[in-house]
Amino acid sequence: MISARMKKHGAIWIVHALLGLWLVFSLLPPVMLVAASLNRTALFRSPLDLLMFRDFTLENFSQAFTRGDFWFFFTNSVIISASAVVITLIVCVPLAYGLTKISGRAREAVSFGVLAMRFIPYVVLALPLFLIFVNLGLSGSRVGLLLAHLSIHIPFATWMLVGFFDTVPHELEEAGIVDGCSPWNLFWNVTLPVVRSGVVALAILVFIISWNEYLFALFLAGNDAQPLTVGITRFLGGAEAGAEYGIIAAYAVLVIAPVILFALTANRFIVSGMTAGAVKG
Amino acid sequence: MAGVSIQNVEKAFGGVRVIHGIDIEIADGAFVVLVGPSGCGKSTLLRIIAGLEDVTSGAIMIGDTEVNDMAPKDRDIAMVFQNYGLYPHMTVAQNMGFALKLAGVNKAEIAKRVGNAADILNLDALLDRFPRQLSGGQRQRVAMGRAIVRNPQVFLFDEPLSNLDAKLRVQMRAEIKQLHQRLKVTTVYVTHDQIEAMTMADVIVVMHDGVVKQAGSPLDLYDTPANLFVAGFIGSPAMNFMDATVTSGALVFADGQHLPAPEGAALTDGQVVRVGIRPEDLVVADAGLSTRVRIVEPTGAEIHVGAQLGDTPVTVVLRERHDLHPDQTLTVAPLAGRLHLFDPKTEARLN
Repeated sequence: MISARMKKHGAIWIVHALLGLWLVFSLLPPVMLVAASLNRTALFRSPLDLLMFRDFTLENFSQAFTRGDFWFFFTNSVIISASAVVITLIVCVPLAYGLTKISGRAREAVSFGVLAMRFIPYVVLALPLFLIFVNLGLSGSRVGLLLAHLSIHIPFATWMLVGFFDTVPHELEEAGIVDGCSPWNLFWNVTLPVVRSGVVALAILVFIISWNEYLFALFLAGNDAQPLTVGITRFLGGAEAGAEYGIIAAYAVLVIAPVILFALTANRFIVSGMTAGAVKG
Repeated sequence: MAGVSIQNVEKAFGGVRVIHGIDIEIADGAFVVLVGPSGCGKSTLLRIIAGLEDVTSGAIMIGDTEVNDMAPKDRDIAMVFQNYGLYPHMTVAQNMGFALKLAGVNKAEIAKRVGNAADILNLDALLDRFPRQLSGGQRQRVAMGRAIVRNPQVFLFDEPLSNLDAKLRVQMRAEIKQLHQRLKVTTVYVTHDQIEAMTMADVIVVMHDGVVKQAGSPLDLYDTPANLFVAGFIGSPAMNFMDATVTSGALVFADGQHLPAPEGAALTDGQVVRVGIRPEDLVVADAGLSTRVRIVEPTGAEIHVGAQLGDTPVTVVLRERHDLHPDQTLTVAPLAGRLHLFDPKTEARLN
């Protein structure tokens, strides 16, 4: 007799098998990237050879640092991404909070206007921004690239933050008002702490979007402001050697490592449920 | 401590008037319950006293001070919200001390006053916890603690028990009442639950559609409701109503049965009145109104009988045990002096 339990057992087994497949599917690219970065020649090896490190070397990494001018690009990436986070938060947190305080049509109009900016593909913005920046002398500067990034971040972040602030129950602010909060106190000591984890998560997202951004950098960074995503392209091809996949792989590992470390350390902030228990239960 | 005086207060949101000229005098130290169905304006009135809404016209006095244009924090009030309104990122102690901290009270004093309030409410063991680690009843106590710590002139409660389960509600009801007896701070309490109002209040203010229908002690309202609305709203099971015509000193019902009209009411022959009788004021009798039993509900302490007088449903609550069955005839009579007569048009009390 095939009991219900055995049927259930079979179903679980199938689910696990599917999950396993999915795991391999999603982990294979990054694993292959790391493997390729640690082998001498990546291109003509079979994946199995690469995974067994038949031709193990750290040479690709030292090449990436020396020939790749890694620290130059890294500095640009850090400065642009970090500034993008700071400025986005300074602009968008008050903006979004303010939007949740106005009601009706005005709010919808502003919210839609902000969101509508998101409809524009970046590539449409890149060329006009380039022409404008050339005229303003901002082309090839970190400031110019940063401004381009902000044109993406600000609408996106504002829209996210309005959503966060909307989850704060109005009774919480009323309790604050009765307790004697000034408007600033209300914002800083009552409402903002409640959405803190959301703000931190957003900051990480903004950082990662800036860190990975390529298109604007290609158009606007000139020579002096190039971030890592552009830096990697110098190994893509050249008269002498063709694409150097081992170095590209090493470089790519170096590009994503800080982001992964950053996300892992900040992970504890990205815990929802801060508002649990504030209201009802 | 201070009383609260609500003087001809009106409130409109946009063009919609929700409060139509309300006058209430709340004595120093009184426990006043604003009660009424949802949408009657009771919460709005409380928020006006708190300063979370402004008045369209009229005045709010706390003690001898008109507070119309004062910020909530300057009114010397504390409020307990339906959903508690605790700050989720602060511990119980920080929640309770927040108002004092904002007011610039020094740390030692804050700790002392928070400690006192925690003592009163049995919260000592919970001071370092966060709201999310507390049960509903504990959260409600913290919300009260936050109010007590400030030592205000007036406590305002906005349906504080409606998120609690039935058993806890009864328990917290008693706790709030004891708290008031101990602190003797003027309290305005909003609820839609007439049992809460009856059990807790010194004075009940019944509101409906933005006006005060009647204000008085719980038993006054119960014994002599001033109008049909209060008569029907206060009391559970609700009062029975049936229309009767006055005919030479008797109240004649639609099916021809009649009762002697109570004395002291100015009635004229042919006048139609609405007769109100509370379910527990009907007793089994040899002569009186003959009703047909529809349903019998023993609750242990009492028997609730759903019956019919002609076409009108009548509820009878009997304290003695009777062997009753559906479809049998039950003759009941009202206790002397317990008939309520109302004018069906003006809804006002006639006796």
